[in-house]
Amino acid sequence: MSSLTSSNEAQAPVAARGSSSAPSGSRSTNARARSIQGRSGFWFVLPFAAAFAMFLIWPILSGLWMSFTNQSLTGSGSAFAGFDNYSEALGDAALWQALGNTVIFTLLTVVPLVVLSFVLAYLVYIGLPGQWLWRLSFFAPYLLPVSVAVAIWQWMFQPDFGLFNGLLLRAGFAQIPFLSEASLAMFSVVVVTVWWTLGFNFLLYLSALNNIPDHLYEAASIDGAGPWRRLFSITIPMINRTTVMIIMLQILASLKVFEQIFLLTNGGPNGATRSVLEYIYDVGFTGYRLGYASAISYLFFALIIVISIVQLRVMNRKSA
Amino acid sequence: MGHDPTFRTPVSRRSILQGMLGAGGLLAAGGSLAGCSTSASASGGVQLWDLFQGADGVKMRSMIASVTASVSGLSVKPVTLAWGSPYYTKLAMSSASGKAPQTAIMHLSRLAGYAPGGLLEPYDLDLLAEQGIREEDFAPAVWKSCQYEGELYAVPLDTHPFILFYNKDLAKTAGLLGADGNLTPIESPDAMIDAATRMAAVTGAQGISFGHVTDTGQSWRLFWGLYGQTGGDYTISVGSPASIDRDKARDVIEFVVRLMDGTAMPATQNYPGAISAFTSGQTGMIFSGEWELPAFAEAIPNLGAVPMPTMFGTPASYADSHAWVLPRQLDHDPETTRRTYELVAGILKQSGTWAGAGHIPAYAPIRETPEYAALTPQTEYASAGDNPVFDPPVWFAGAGTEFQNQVSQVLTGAFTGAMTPDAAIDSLLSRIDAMLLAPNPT
Amino acid sequence: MSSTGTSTVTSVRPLSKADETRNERNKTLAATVGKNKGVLAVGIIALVIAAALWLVPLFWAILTSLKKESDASNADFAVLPREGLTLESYRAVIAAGDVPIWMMNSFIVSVVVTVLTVAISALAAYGFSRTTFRGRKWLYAVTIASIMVPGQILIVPLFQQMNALRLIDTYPGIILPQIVAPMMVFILKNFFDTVPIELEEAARLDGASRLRTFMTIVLPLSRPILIAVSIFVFIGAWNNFLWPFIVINNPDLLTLPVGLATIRNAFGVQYAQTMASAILAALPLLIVFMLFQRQIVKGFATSGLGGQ
Repeated sequence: MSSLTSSNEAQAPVAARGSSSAPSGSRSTNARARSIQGRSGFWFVLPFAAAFAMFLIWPILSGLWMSFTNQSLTGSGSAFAGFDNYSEALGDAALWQALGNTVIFTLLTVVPLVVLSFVLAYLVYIGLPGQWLWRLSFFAPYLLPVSVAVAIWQWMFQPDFGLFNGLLLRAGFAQIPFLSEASLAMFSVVVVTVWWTLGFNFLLYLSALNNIPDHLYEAASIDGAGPWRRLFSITIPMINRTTVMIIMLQILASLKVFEQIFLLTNGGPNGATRSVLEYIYDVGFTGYRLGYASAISYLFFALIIVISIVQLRVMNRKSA
Repeated sequence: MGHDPTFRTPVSRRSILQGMLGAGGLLAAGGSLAGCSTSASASGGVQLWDLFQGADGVKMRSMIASVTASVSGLSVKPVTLAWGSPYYTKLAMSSASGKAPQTAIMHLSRLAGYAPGGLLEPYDLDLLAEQGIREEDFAPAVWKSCQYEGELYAVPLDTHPFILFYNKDLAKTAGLLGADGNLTPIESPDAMIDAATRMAAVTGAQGISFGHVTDTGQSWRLFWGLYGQTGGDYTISVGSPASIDRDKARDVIEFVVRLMDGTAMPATQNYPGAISAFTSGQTGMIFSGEWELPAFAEAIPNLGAVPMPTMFGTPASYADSHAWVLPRQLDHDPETTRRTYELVAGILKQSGTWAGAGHIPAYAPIRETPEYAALTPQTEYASAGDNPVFDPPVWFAGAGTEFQNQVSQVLTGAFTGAMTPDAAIDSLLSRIDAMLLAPNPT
Repeated sequence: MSSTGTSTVTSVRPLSKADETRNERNKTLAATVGKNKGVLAVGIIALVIAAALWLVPLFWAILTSLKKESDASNADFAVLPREGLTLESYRAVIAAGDVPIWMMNSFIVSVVVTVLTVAISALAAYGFSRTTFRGRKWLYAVTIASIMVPGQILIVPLFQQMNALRLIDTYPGIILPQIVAPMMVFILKNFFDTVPIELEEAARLDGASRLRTFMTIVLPLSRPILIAVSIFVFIGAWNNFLWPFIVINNPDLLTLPVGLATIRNAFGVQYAQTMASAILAALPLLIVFMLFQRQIVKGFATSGLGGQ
């Protein structure tokens, strides 16, 4: 995935660690081949390296410099300003609120997006008829552009004649202000996110389940294990690695939430659903303060790196 | 939407090739290149951005169509974006990159955040005069708001005040009409509460609607307009702490709290709730922006309107103004510039149509036409355009800003009794102080 | 992030279950649930309910898009159409012309991004896998480390950079920042590492150039992984919102997701038309998925994440 894909695509597939390794001996022959094949390899790497330097390394460096200036969208304020932006960010209540919202969103989405996607993948894996239909049902929303997913749900959340409130009114209940009340708005954003992105984890689980060798089950059934025993002693342990990986990717993807919140509630009501990335957008482009927005970006980047390292540690311990 | 066909084929094979070559060239050389810009000027058209939807959008599109029909060789590509912060963010970003539309609508209250930063270009008064647009055609207060450092940065299209609409049939039953069949002037807070209470007796529910809960501007519109009537001084400018006449501000807040007794006015209506209460006859009056007039007129056969009743001494109504601005351009083509001025002037001369959506035309010659004089209830509140109360001219204020959102939240809290008037005033001042101290990015 | 992971193309079993025989399915059924009818019944019911929940929003959108506008926004709510079904809103949306233009833009951008990304990533991955040059190890380490960089935090400096290059509101401006995909280099290199070297050596001894060897021998062997990577990159580019949203202001260059979200109908909110636009925007990828379901599912496995 490119470095700029939307949050649900950002979970690029990762090669599983320690999976069945290359055919033995290929490493040494590859090394030998390298020595045989000389030094023209740089030309192979050059196009990528040029793009990489230009559109990844350079923005990282220029953004870092920008975070020490008061650079404005209008072009002024490019003089060095020291750590002003960073100290301002640490005392910025709106930033802390956005960080809090992001953490809450992450907690509320990771659990269903891991547990529910496993449960659904398992139900499909059991082998009920109509495989392709089940698969399509859960994966289809993932293929929708975010604006389509949000448009559909906005239409369902509508007061008066949206699907939910329309049905409530028909049944004689009061309407529910899905998007205009703080606690409900976050809940609505979470529901939309789970519906929209579950398909990705679902497919990962499904392919992991399909890789479980049958003979394990056969052995278990000879031992007289029932379906629950098989689930807990064979299926779940066998896909442990996938689960760890999905949790990791999902946490990072959820932390980077922006677009569905931006489109559904625009961070409202009154900042109650605004995420860190949306705050960066608001500060930088709506408020012109590119320098300050850059500083917030780098603080957020540091946080993500810390979280990633902690996760890697935990993961390595688990798989050790 | 029938557009000029020249705009329907933005993608030529050439531009795709250019894109490919551009990508390749960049990768190979790491240099820059001029990308394939498809600005409208290349095809002799004028790009225009606005934020008008619904009745406003219908009227604006028909005005543009009339102008293009009457000016030979003019082609226009109008684009409508979402009102508020998304619109202004995109406008700033396109101006910053110099590839903005040739002209765009801006609330005058936002000018202080755009003109100083160089995101806009000033008008050439001679070119405007050639198109028949001159200073004397506009109200002095509005014209002054269009200027920055002696240059004209905006040409006002309308003034849209925050006023009082009323249902004439219900008002008649409640005995609120004078001999002329219009609302008897309401000249004090107590008179307003009395009138609303009498109206409530007729509707059987409440007297007057006002939707403000979770809204990002309504409480501010009501408060700031009434504070303008008190003649209270204020200091809201960068470089000094914010100050406001505390007694007068308290008077205004306390009046609204008294009015929201649940009978005269419900305390916790949101924007759409207030509108549907008024159009369905649960209330007989509403404090509202005049932009809701088309919706009201459709639902209420006998609709009346007056400027915000003068309850605090000086006639004044909160107002803003839609104006045409010229976003910064990278390349200036005299031909396109002339076309743009033709378009802006043409739309101004069409603003009789615009008045149909409730707005008071800023261009005086239109206000003096018999067609405008025949519009009701528009003419009943047209005087509101003579004494508008605009937002303080500071870079962070204006329509759809975080400033309006924050002060509205505080005021809503005060109106609904969640905090005392004095606590609300303290909170207002401290929030405004924080914004005044924030680095000015323009 | 260094790891000795490898992708398993030599996958244990065929992954697409679409064409599985009943036998195979019964085998899984027997293996997981056995003869326990109760568990099976609960499973079926749960699955049907979940799938229904997942499909309701899509059906509701389709139903709305087929209603008359007056019917869709009728304050007196009803699920079923009262004024019959019509394709009116689709006609209106296509006649207005915005959606087809955005679709074309999306298509151009996604195809170019996919071709460029896969091309430069495959070349680089081969270079990292098979050759030596000064700084190779270091360069690869930096590439891998950059997987950790969340691209979204670069919108501010990238916007400034594109502005300096005069690439705001151009195709290259949308495309170029999207073609840097260190993750794809990583996946492809892991694959090339597993390709036996002997084939290449033979070709080299026959005097073929390195590039020729790569094109004629390695690439054909790599088809499954190339397809998988292309699918991921294409879906990502097609649905990308944030960057095109930042870099494009000109309505004629908007991509589908951004156009739908930013351009408003001047004549007011038309629910049936909004849903018709949404369905039209959703169709291309849904059709692609239905046609290539097997390859896409395989791609998920080939990438190695689901592998054991």
